[in-house]
Amino acid sequence: MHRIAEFSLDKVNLGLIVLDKDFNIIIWNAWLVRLTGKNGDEMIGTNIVKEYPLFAKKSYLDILQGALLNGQSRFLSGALHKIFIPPAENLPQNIRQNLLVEPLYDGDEKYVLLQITDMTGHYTRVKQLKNMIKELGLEYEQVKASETISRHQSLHDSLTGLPNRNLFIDRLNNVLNLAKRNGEMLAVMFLDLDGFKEVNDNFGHQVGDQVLQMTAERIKLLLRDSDTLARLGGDEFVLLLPRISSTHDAATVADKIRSVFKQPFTIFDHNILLTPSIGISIYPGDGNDAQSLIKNADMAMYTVKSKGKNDFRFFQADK
Amino acid sequence: MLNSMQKDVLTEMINVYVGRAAGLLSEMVNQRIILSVPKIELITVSSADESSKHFPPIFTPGHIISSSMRFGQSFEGKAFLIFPAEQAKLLVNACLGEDLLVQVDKETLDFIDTDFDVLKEISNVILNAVIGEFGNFLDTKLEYSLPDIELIYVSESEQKILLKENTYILILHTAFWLAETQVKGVIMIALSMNSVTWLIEKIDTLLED
Repeated sequence: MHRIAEFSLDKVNLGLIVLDKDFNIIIWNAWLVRLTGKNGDEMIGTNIVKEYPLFAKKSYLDILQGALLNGQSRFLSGALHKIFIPPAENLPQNIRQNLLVEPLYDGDEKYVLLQITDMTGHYTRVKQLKNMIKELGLEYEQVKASETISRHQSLHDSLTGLPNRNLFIDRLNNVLNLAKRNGEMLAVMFLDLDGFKEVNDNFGHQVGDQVLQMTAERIKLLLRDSDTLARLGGDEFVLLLPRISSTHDAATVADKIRSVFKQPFTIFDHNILLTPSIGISIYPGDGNDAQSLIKNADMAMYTVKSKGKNDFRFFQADK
Repeated sequence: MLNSMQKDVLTEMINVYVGRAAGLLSEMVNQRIILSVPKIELITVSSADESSKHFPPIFTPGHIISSSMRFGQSFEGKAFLIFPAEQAKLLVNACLGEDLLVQVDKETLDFIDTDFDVLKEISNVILNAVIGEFGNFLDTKLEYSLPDIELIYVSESEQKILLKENTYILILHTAFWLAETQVKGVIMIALSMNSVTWLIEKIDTLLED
């Protein structure tokens, strides 16, 4: 063989094996010497099927024969086969190789060319990448979940689970815009529990909290899906009723709310009777923005408080 | 192009061929793989151009993975194994024993090099088997190239990307069954006029016997 051709075979960064028609090794390059610790003198002339029992398995033998007899080329991936020519014992064993099996004909002489490439670095990278993708995916899910939670927390009251002031104002603004565009009527109710302070003072905050939760539950049962009940804090609730047809609708709802307080709240053997004071403002008429509608409903509620409580009242601008 | 008798013979032959390929694949990935070709068609490029109804449904717009290899000498052509990209990903995952419950997302096809290696080998086994058996059937010597893997985007307007003038195309609708998953692909064998004639003549002699 031309000397420079021989040097080149030893320089290339892959394992090159040429087998004759009986699968005896006739070329074994320096890359393989470094991998296996077995030099050319040792290997040339030996039979690959005997040296490497993997190739004695029918499926691999068929591939060698397919190349020799039928001229078939075959690519074998490290992803599926892992390894073809194992490294010397003193070298790391967890490596991956790709193998290319090709026919090599020289006139009537038939040979098989095997090319072995080390994919270890590649596979390690792929594995790391896969793990990283998985981890990133998990982290993303967690961030998304905690975002959803904190978004909910920032817009809801933790005791009753009702929307808080921010969410209420946001919804009120949306509904107001629609009402302005479509010429609709809406009502805002401000609701305060009469004598709630005494409940807290006499029975403790735990009981007071339960009363607030039960109040929220009872009122929610009366409402349409489009209505919004929110807790502003303490014993103050606000209610938004979009698309009502007259003030009469609001009065009906206020009456219903009063009626749910006729049943006492039974908490830890205490039967607690409370009443609500309710102020109502109406768009259009009592304000053009969220703040003034809430403020005016609040004022109407204070009028109820000052006139004997346990009632509802519409806002009146001149009073 | 093919009468029903010829079609039947060819379908049966090809199912035997892919059956053998399935055996090889099963051994390779250590799980049972079943391959079947329920339907074959022989079309010419011009008839494919005329009406899209001849196209396998696999050519709906989107990403496809094509693995192709040339073969020759006297019986000559180019063989393709084609999958919609998400089907290819499913096949790779099943072969590598990876989680199949993870939904394969059409939009984010995260193919990595080893996935292409696996597809290259699978297509190599199947195409070698089919082409090799054609060689045996015609009693002719063949040369084969190694498969080339490509990820191709097929748009609405260029659904005939793989087809050239004056070739005949044998379309084999192929179904893989593995790990309780079905993966659908298409084997396309583009053949020269001479090669097609040769194949049909040989089938006819078989029918005469």
